[in-house]
Amino acid sequence: MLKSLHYYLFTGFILLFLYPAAAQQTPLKNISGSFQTDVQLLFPDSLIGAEAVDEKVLSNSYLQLSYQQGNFSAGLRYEAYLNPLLGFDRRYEGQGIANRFASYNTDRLELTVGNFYEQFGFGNVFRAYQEWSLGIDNSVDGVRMRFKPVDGLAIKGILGRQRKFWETSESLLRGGDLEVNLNELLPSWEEKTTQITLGSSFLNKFQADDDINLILPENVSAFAGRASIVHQGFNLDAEYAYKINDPFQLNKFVYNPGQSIYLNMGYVQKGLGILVSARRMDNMDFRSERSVSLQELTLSFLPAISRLHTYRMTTLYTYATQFNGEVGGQATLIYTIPRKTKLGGKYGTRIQLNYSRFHGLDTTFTEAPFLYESSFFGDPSLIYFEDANIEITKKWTRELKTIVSYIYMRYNADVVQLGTRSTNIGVVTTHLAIGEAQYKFNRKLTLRSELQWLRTKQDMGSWAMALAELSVSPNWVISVFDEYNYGNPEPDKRVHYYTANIAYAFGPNRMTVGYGRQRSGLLCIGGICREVPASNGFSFSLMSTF
Amino acid sequence: MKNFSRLSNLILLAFFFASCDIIEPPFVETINQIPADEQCLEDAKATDPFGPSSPAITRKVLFEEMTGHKCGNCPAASETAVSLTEGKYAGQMILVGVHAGPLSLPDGSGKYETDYRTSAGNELYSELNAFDAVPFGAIDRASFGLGASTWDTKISQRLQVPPKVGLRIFNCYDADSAAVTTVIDVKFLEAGTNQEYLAVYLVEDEVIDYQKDYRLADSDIPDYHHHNVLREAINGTWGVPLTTETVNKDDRFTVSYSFKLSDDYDPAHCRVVAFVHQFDTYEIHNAEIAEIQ
Repeated sequence: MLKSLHYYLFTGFILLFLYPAAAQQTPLKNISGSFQTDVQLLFPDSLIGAEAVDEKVLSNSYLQLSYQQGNFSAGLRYEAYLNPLLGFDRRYEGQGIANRFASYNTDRLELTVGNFYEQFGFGNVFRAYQEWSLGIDNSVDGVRMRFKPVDGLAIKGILGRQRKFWETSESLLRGGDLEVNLNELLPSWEEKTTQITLGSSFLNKFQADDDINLILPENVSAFAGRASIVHQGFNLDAEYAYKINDPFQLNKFVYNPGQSIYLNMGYVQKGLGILVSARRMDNMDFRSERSVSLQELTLSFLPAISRLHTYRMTTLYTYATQFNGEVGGQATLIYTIPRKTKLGGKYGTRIQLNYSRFHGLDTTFTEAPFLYESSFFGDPSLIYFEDANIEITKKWTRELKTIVSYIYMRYNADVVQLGTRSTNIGVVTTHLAIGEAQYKFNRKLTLRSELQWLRTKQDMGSWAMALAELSVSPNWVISVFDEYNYGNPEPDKRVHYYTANIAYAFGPNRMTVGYGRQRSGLLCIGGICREVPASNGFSFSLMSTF
Repeated sequence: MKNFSRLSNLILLAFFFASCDIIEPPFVETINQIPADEQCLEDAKATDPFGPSSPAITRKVLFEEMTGHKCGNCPAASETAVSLTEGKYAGQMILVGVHAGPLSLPDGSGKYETDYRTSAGNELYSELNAFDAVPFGAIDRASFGLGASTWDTKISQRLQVPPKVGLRIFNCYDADSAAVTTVIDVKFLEAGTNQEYLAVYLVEDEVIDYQKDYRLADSDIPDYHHHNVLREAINGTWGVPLTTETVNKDDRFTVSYSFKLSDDYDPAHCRVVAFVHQFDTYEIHNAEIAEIQ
């Protein structure tokens, strides 16, 4: 029934696009879209623990179409998981229209029906978003209103159910957000150099209590208040979120309320930037349903606030937010030594210092296993993650630029990877040294290379990595790299993870073909992570926009 | 405009407070709770479970086999578990089949339509199965094994740990009303902590339904025998504390539950499983199993 509905919807939508164009013999100028397909051809590889895949070939694809006519817009996304790529939830298997919407938008009012993405404030109580490479699409299927009665005042309201693979979740969502920009709202504040924005948001979910053992709340609400202040080079963002008792699978059915305090301060002036972030979170993971796993049906958006490293070796021990409780923060200092000085050289030298640390809450059950108490500052001895790093970027000549980094990390693998406080791997201490050089031979030809060395005596032992990437503008990028786990305590696991990729770009299209071994681990984008199993095989990717 | 802003904030706050279900303790509701069978309680009291003429306390390992009806690798592992329970470790091992995880989801194929998942099973899977994969075995929640190859060794090692408690289950079943009264006696053989919990589960053996098995050309078995399927956690997934005080050697506790058996279960194949565990470590001290009739 649903499939046939989708079929008629799809056909209707295509006709909607084509009819005016055919009738007027004009190009489809109101239509835009994008297409992407990712394909894997996989082989078993017992050396790295890559298991045989029955289908051999896996693929994720989508086509996004959007139509705009005056104040009206509509769109749909066709998705095909044939079958889902390795590491993606198997419940995505299948194909069909996963997203469709229609919207009417004026200066003051926007009304949307169908699937939509939305965020309230900093997202501590609600963010519906899509991240293709993480397999996250928690769009809401329902009704949304955005209303600006006057300048400086914005109101949002939503009603709906969250996407759950090819269905919608059992729970019903109702919520609203109010944001006031004082400088726009109050005439006397218009000229002030200090910009202040205040906001509050609210989200409620209803899910029936079908548990025979526990008395569960059917209506669970979360509330957040926030403020943003900008004064010349200084900015401050703060959000406090509170959620009433919400026992569910991932918080082990505790009845404690959830709380989160988030602070972010920055100061920027020429050549200098300072950024300090801190967060205390206790049981603030908010999901649409009680029986969920991994990144399924998230409502609250709580990415890790530690530095997001991009080098490959750093992804071995990437921190992921511990939703049930963490206390910590990070501080970053960026200083550019001015050009034409002894240390700065001809082009200046950029130095970035960063430190972050997160530890667990100190919890004592008062009514185990349902209620606990926790101290505000947590238990510093229960380390989850610590990262101290320095990065120096220097441009030597018009052709040559280098980046060198040193990173010291302590990573509680039991908590972050296995989600348990019992000791399996323990706290892994690593030292990373990274060097990157980029040389422009001419306007078209650039060679970039990386050498990375990770030293540790724990877990899988030490690693080394080398990468070379040749860019031939504007079409070609060819890269090869090898990660070598030379220090693995088990000699037969001292394996090379080699990969080669060729990317070809033409116009708004990009095609990539690759072959390689991928180690298992966490793939993180913007502080949100998913587990990736080990694999060996070819990959193909095509992205296109129109 | 200020009034409008205030009004909007008030509406948000009103929504927040009006639409909250704040639950106060106790949070656990005993399943289908009914008045206790007083005669059963008297009968249980009549014999001293840990007296000189009572059977000696036996060490029994609780083996929770996490599985799923669409897990094609599970039947081979399940055969190992059943063979160990009925053979090598007969009388020393208690098998509980926990259906949970993605491969336990029912579907509309006409085959895998029964939902064997329970909220307790989901919770156990989430908490104990760090691999998020089946077949997975939890041995007294003290050691764990993905796949069946290590189960025998781990159970053997676990059986070397002396029992910390003795348990007796005394069940009464009234066929007319489908009422079950279960009386559980616990005796500590050594001093414990203040985190000693008693958990009581209901399992059903010989449940016949579809199961996937990759060893077969036609991998869908319509009449597979599922063993000791976890049906209910009678006093919650983690059970209830025996006391809030530190437990001393020789301390004894008696706890009883009375509930109505669901019409969906066959009383001839239903059993009560009881075990004592230390809540903060999950480690199980000893376990017992008894038919309900």
